Amino acid sequence: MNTTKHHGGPDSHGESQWLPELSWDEEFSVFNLADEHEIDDDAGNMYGVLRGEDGQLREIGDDYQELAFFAYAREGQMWHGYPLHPISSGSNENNPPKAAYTLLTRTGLLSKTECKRLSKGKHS
Amino acid sequence: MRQINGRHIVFPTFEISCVASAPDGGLCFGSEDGRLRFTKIDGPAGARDVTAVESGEAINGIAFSDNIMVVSTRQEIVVCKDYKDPVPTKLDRGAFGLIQTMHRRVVAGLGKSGIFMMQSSSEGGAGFSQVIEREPHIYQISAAGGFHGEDWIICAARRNGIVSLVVNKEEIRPVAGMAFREKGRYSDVIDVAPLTSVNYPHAAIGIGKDCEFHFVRDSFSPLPPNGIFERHSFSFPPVKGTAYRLFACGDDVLVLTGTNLVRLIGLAKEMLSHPADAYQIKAGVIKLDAVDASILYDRWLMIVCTDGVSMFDLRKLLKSEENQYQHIGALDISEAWGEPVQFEEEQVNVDS
Repeated sequence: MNTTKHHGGPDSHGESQWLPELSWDEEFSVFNLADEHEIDDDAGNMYGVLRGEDGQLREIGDDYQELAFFAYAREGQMWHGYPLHPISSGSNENNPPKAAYTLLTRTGLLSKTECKRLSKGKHS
Repeated sequence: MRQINGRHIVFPTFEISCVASAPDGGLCFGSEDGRLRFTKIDGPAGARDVTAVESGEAINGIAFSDNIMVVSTRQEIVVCKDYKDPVPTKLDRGAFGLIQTMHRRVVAGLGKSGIFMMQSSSEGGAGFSQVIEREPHIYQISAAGGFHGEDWIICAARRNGIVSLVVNKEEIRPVAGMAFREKGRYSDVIDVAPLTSVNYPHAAIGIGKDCEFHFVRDSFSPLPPNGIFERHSFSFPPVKGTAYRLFACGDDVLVLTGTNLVRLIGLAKEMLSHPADAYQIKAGVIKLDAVDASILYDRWLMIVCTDGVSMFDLRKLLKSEENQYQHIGALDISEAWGEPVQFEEEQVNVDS
């Protein structure tokens, strides 16, 4: 589900935003990859990344985000997701739990170096 | 090929995430799970461990001001009034790391949340912290000297370029900022370093994530009358990949990427004497898998790898081939530090 809240819509103020130049297909591929590799936490939320043709992780959000969150959806409900901020701004919880990096590394979607960089809030 | 000798430090059950200098002249290691390990400079014997952050997040910054200790992760900043007996006060904001300034303030970049600053107890500010909201995205920061109680700070501000700030006991004041737009896109500046020069005390070099360099002769100048800052942008084809860190060390510039440590020989000196958009210099390239790096006591280059930290003596690393063994002896890294590690530095000509 492509929500306006995370795509610069009228209800987007203060919300994490997908990069406008990211195509819908690219955005969906972040979800698809997470789904394929079953990158979900105990609550059923999923986490994804996007890799470019050069093999490097790509930014996916307007705050230099490189990791996306897809909230658990019950059967029949639409999934929706948004980029997670690299560091906490204190005002919201929209940055990744530590377990997300472990999950992504265990399934091979992040290298050890990328995991160590991102878990310190640094760019990959 | 030149052989560079160092030591590789690995602690069982303590995965190192960063290293800083400690107030007693020793080292302070941060771990991937929120702990600190204090050691002497000459080895791990008698190390003391402290749990610094209860969240268990990877520590990305450690800095001290007198006895006050500040520790950062991507989730929080923790201030302890006495590092020997830490009782933490937590600020629920993540930082990208910490630095100590000339006047013993501790400063951190908080992304688009701005700047964190804590003053020393001698300024009546023990445990005092301040968050200033600023528009630019403040990422890595560097101390660029100071004067009469004021600290000069330069910030890598991602696509906002390089931002210069003055910090005193009353305020954090932005002085100048310049973004670098080339071929219709803004360079993503991820690190910045001051250059030492009598003639140009505010010269600085920044680096983009894609290893594009930006030299600014006066990073603290308000906009000049013609509206154009003197700055030069260039890249060296052999310096490629994703840039992680940038250091100016005397005449040379060091760049850490995910796969190389590159020593751009004489680049700092060249930029200061002949600012230009192109340079022909030599470079020393060491292949390694790096995560991050820091320079401690102006002497020790600590490269954080996925499996520990490689420690190098800058005095040897920066020496040219001819006189590299001139002062070896008492200057060696203590053998008590881990295992010996040897890297090969390949010297290449680089043209920007």
